[in-house]
Amino acid sequence: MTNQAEFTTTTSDGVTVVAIKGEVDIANVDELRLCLEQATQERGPGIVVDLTAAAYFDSRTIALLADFATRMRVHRQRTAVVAPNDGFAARILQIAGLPLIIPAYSSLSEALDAVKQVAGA
Amino acid sequence: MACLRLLTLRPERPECSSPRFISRIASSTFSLALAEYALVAFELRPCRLVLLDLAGILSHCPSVFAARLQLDYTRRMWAESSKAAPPRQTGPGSPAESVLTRSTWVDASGAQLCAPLFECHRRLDVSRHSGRGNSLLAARQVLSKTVRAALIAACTFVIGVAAEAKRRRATGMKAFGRLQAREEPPRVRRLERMKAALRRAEERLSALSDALPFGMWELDGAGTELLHASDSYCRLFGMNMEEIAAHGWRERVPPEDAERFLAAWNARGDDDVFEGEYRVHAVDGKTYWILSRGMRLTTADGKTSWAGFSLDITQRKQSEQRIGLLSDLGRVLSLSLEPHPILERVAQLLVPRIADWCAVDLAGPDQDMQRAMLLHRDSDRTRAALGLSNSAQLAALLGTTSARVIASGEPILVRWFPRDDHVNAMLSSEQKATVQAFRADSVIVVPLIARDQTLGSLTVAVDDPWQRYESDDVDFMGIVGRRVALAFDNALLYERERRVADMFQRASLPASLPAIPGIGIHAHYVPGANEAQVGGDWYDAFQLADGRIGISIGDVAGKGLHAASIMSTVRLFIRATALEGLAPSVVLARANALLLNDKPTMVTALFGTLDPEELTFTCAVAGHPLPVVVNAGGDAATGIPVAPPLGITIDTSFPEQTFMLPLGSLMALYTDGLVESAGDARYGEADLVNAVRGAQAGHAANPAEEIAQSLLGDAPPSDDVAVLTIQAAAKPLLELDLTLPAQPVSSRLFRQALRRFYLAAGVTTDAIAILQVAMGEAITNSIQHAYGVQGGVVRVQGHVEPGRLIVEIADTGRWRGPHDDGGGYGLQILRSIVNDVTINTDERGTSIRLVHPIGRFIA
Repeated sequence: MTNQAEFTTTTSDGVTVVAIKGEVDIANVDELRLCLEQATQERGPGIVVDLTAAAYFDSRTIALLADFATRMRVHRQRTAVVAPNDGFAARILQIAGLPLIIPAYSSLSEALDAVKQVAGA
Repeated sequence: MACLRLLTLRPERPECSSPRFISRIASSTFSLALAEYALVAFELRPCRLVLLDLAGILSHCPSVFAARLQLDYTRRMWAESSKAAPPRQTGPGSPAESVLTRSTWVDASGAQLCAPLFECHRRLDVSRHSGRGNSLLAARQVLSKTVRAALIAACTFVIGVAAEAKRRRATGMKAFGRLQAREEPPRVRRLERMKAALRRAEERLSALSDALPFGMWELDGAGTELLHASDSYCRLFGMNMEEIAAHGWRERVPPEDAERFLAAWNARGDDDVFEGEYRVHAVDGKTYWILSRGMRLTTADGKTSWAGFSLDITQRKQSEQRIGLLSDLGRVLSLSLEPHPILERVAQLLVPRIADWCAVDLAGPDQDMQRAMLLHRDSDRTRAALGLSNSAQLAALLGTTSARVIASGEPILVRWFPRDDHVNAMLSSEQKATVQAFRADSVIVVPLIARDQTLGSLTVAVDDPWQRYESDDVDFMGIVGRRVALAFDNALLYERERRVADMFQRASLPASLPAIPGIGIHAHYVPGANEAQVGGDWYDAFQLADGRIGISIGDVAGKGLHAASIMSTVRLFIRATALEGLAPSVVLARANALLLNDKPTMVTALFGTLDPEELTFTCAVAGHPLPVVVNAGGDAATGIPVAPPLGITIDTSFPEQTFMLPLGSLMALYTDGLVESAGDARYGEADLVNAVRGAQAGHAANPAEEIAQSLLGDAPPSDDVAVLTIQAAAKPLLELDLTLPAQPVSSRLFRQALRRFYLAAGVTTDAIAILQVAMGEAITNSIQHAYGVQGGVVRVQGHVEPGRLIVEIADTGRWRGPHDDGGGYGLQILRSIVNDVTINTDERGTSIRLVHPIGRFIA
């Protein structure tokens, strides 16, 4: 099954942004893992994972993000997620309790600012 | 004329030596004509031996028989015999015995009456034997059959001369002198000559009549009393004329022929000519066809009679029958290209025309033999025999003869089949009765040989002793066998080719169609009948990434492998392009470009996407028949043809149109073979709508097959036909039951089905998104459990109870705990979303039951 989800990696002011569009489940979570690992090669201040267009993800994605954020922290890099208020992603992250590990922001600009700020500080 | 004697050495014709016969001949003024009659008879009928006392002729017909040569001849014979040479060895060809004897018969005026009558290379020294019989016996012993008759005539002559010589020796030469001296007055001589000529003509006619196998006949004017029948006719009946007239005719003529012939005879009316045909079972064991032709004769005194002749037309009838059969065989063999029907038709042709029953045995691999066809003119007997096993049939019904013919490749003729020969002791009494019903009096088994290979054998048998087969029937059956073998072999080749084509075609079509809850996708493909060729029709249905179903159908112009290869390419190209997520119009535009770029071939195609949630079908059409949708109320709708087929011009766009598939509706996609086979396309389309309506209303397991069946019937269509139907369930999806393989890709299909279930149950889309995560956790777990287990499946069932939704997810593996892979989040998320979670594990597998209220499901 192609294009179940699209993972787009861009760079904004030295911060790598991985945008997830579509559905991430057991079938393609490894694709996301690869994509995130490639993004860490950039050695920037941090990574923003944009979940605005994510239609579905489950505990595997959340576990992956949590694990990823922990490893980033070891390299003194920051991780932030974008999940608009009351959107699907925000609610699932809420249910899973992820914001305790990774800060979630309702817009990309907020997330970018947060990552740069922390890095700059 | 008392001294005239006519003797016959023909024991089979006692009537010829009867006093009545002799006296009839003797009472006529017998003269040269009789002698000629006898000699003519010798030539025509070599088997007949007639002894004429020529001495009597010579002495009593001096006026006609003044015979210069005759006398010379006699003298010579006399001189030779009086030499009294010692008898020599009478071995054939012994030169000492070989003299050339010639005789020319002349009348008194010296005119030649007969050409030289006989040549004899053997002289018999009759003077040393006292009796005629001894001489004749000697002659018969030493001479070959072919010259026997001529020789007997010769020796008869010699005997006569010898007898005369003996007498003359005693009485001196006075008689010869007297013979020469007696001269009739010229007027009397002329009269005698005229009479002689007349008699000669009569006798010639009589001889001729007797020479015909069935000869001549005469009936009285009323046509009831037989006045005369030729001896030959009597002979074939094996009875005399009186017996024939009394009862014999009906005994020898088959009843149906007798009825037909007599009916025609009685209906002859005032015609002066009558003609009829009938068969005679002659005493020689053969059956003859007779053509009887008669004329009404009226004498000067007004008396009428019927005279005519009978001709043996057996050969002609046989030829007619055989030519007719061969012509019918040619027609029958051209009617079918399927092996078994060919054998069936051949059997129906041979039975009962030339056989009472007929069988075809085919040589199989490993020396075994299969009885492929058995037909008796009595269908009950055929049925009874077909009830026997193959081996019983072969063992009992001439199977061993067939095996011999197949092994040798040479035909076998059994003229007289012993009645008990083919009853096998191993059979039960009932089977024996069946087998005995298949009597055979005479049998021909010919091999079926084509391309130097013996395919099997063809057996024909008659159970009528009158109809036994002869060697010329074997030749004829050999011709039949060769033609049948050729046609059968061609049919086998054709069938093989068609099977390959069909396999190729089916291999080119999708192995399975997507299973979507609440939507039935069915397809049916019917290969064309008359071509052992792959068709160019295809259909395809496949799951798209976004949950929609891609559906294509099309038809490549032409037939055969070329069309099939293009069909395969276009089908896969459309599928590949569609999986990229491109819109139908783009998919067809790219297929068009592909065709124009690679192989410019005209292809009609339809590609569309089915949205299972919205129940819509959006498609682009390239010169292809439009879909027909019939809703639950029976209303039919179709689309608008807009674009030409693919492969014609690049300047084409393929606009999309969307069809609604309301609950309970049925949409049919098809290739044009479906409606074209009905002749008038418009009429065909009206039928099509009716057929779709019928399938929509009915509950056929496969509506596509039902539509094809109702339009095409059982007869295969001339062109191949593909039909694909999309059926929307009559009710919203409030009952979900979906089983999919335990594979990662299935999780998404489960979510799509669940989404439709939740939508149908009235759950909001926001709530559905969250619920999907809970279900996803459970489903993913199940997939992981059963994954890798051979043939593992996951089953998701859902139903609605008042106020709540129940979903059960079952697998064939063991519950391993939700935190194995989700880092502990799985069960937490699941339980956070759905409160009521029950997990059951037993040896059959694990099931998770999730119950939540509609509307208030998040804790």
